[in-house]
Amino acid sequence: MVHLLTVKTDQNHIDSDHTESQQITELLKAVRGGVPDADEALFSCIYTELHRMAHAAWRWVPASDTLQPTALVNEMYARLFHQRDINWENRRHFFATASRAMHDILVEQARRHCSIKRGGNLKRMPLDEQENARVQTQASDVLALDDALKQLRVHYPEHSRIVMLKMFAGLTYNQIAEIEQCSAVTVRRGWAFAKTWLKDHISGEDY
Amino acid sequence: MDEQALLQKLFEEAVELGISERERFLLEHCASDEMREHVMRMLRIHDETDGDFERPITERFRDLLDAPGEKIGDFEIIRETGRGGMSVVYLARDTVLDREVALKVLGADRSLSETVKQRFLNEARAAAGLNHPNIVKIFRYGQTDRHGFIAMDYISNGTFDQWLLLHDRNSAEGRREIVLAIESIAEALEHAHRAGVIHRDVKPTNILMDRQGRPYLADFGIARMLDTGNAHETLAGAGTAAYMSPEQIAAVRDEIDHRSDVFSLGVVLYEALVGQLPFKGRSGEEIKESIRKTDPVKPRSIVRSLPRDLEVICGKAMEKKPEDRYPTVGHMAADLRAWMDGKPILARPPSLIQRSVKKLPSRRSVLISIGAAAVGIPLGMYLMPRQRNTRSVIDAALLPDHLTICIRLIDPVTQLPGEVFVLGSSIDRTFTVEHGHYRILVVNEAELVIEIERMIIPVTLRSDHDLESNQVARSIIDSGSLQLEAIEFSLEKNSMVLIPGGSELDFDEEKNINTGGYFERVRKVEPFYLDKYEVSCSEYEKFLVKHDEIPFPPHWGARECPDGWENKPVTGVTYFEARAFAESQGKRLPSAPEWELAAKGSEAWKLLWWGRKGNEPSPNEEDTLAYIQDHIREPVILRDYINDKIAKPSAWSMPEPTEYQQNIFASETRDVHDAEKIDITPLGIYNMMGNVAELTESTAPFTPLNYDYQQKSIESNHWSMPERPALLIQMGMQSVNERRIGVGFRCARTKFYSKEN
Repeated sequence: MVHLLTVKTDQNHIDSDHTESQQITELLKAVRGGVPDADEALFSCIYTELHRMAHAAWRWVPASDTLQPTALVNEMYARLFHQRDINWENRRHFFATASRAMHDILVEQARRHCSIKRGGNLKRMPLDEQENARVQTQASDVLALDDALKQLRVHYPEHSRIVMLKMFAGLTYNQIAEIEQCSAVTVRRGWAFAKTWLKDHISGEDY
Repeated sequence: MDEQALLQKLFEEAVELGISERERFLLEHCASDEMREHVMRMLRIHDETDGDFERPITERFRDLLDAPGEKIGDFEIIRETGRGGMSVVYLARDTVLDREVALKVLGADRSLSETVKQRFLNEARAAAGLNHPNIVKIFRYGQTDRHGFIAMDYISNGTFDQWLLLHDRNSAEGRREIVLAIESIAEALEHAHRAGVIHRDVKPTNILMDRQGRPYLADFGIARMLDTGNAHETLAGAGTAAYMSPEQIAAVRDEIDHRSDVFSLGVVLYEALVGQLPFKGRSGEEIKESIRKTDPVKPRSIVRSLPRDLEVICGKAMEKKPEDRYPTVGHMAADLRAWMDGKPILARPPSLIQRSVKKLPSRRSVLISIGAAAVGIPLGMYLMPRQRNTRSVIDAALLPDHLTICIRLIDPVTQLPGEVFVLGSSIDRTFTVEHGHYRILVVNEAELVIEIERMIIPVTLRSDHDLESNQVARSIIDSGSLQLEAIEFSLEKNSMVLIPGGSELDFDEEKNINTGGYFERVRKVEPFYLDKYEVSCSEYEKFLVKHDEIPFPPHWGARECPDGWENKPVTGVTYFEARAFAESQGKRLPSAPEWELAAKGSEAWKLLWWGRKGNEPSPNEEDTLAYIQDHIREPVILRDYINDKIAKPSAWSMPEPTEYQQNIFASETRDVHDAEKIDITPLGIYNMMGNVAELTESTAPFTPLNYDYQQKSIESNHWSMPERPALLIQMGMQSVNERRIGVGFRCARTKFYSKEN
């Protein structure tokens, strides 16, 4: 009854550009509410969005101006959530999903350029020899990293979450600590262990 | 602790230490040399390569990420978005026109049969010739040396089935959006049919959604050109089983025409509205068998709240024989539009009762007073709880033929009655309902016979209070059945007032909570009758005489109304008692929206707290206070309460009224129709402000369906609550067995319309 006195009339802030963020917000709600398959839908939504952004960024950003995952995710974050107050649960789901999407984009790109024989199907744009070799190397690195990550997830699930957030969402120790509800020190140590463990398990690595 | 956990723990401790400390630490803590070696090795790796993993991945894998994608013709592949039997769909960039397209590519690694090539070309040609806002646009199609391709509009927001996942199909709004989407697709199909193209594979995955929620029909993959008439031998039966029409299954070549698409669209509509497929099976064959032979489960037996018209539309579209279906998909679109516009649909001439129910809002009205002859037979309605306790079956087997029962779910948020469901002689005798708060109306052909409000809930959830109180009420709940008895009702002259329906502003709590903003919601209230004034002590006394089992209000001190209180409002009654009284008069308690609409009248927007009108400025406090001083009696004595001379108003609940309280009651309440003191509002009702607060039938939003938890809304304020003198909205809640000395009630009755004038 008291809120009767605080009448706000501005209801015209519905911005057609934010339908995607609305959808993601809806999806986040649905995930929390335990709606079956909402998880998948959320992932595919974020994945699509991130992919489009990444693709645009990688295509058009000048070579010297590296777009970092942090920037990418942050930009997406800003676009998706605009200035709304996002609660902690939403952040957690969002970053978990966004880092997974980032990871999958990379792996997908790697698969496409790795040894899988698809050349017969589709014609590649010509690359010079040297460039091609670098691409191939990086592609196998990504796949090796991915294999090691899978193992890490089995043995140390908490650590694998830290890796995802650190490496693919580009979050800081403090941000990860907030999401994982632990101290920043724990995150720092966990990260040190996890990355060492990964290096140890990537055979023939040259990091 | 297992070895892995130990390794991790030791490493994480050691990595923080200096080189020399590490050795000491590990010697101290490692149980085995092996473990120590392992940790040492990891620490070495860590120290040697510290920093490598810190590089941003986009930098580390820059070349990989920058590497251009594959190309097909002028199209650069961005990524795969879908895969069908013969083709792959990519998101691609048209390097000539520099825009994103969906590129459907026919695989080159298989030797293509002529049929497949034909099919692919058919799709391209068929769809490219169509130009409709709800059909995916084809930009180009053709062949490179290896691939057949179709470049079309990239619709970015997934398919209809994915869209449905996030859709609240059971809300009115959600349902409208579904119907709107299907209606758009029906229009698109009509356009295609007119151009001679039958889709033949209408299914949710072939309907793409854009970010604005607009649907697009895609994939004329097995479309057949009517005018070429070839190739269909191999194509018949190729649609996805669950959405196929019976004639597609039978592959009767001459029978597959545009009405096959009507059937498939009916299946899509059914699935979207109901949440499950109409024809099910564990295999394609079983599904086909089901399509051929079984009738789908009635949508409304699954989704109780589904409007009957939509059920009829689904049924009409999914008739087994093409000639029984809508003659064209355009007819189906028209019916869907009619439903959205609130007009009668054409699919089936509505029955007498449906007609009268449907036309409620617009028909000129006559309220029928009911003669005692109307009914003499008790009606049995058996409520049988199902296993999961979310639904009950109402069985109206004992309902006399000339009577019909209408039930309306009271929306738990708006507190307004929803869709009218009809049970009666000519219609279903049993009915499955979601548990909830219902208004139950018994009507004969033209008259409202009985009107009550009850919660339909499992017997186990009914509290003892409820059973006990219902025994004192006119309606008895006994082992799950509800017996209703017709009573004589006549509209006493001048005792009730017709409140024309109207809109009433309310706070949209759901939206406010979700957005943190402030939103109002308009509640549309249907016309109804309301008592001009509160039920008086003398009226209540008469009721008590006939009902020995009902206790008297405690502050009366005896079963007789105290002298001089005859015209005072009766207070100190429970919700059940108030309801029983109302029903004994052939009435019911008003809902909170009804009460507020009546109380606010047509001038109320002038005052603070009472809402606004259109773009008029909000009323200010000064005007409001002036109005109150002019219209409300001076709350002098109330100051004493505030100054702690007696107990706080919050202590004014029953059942232990003191003599002092009785005196206060006597001096502070006014007579229910004391015309000198009470204004009549422009609605012709006595001012509802400030004498006693009044009990309504409404509950708080989302109250659990159990009488133990029910809190009934109390409107306005009463004489012991001076702080909020001008309140014509909800004051608070009171549980169903509570008595308060400041809370009375008045009765309402639904305005019912006869079928023909």
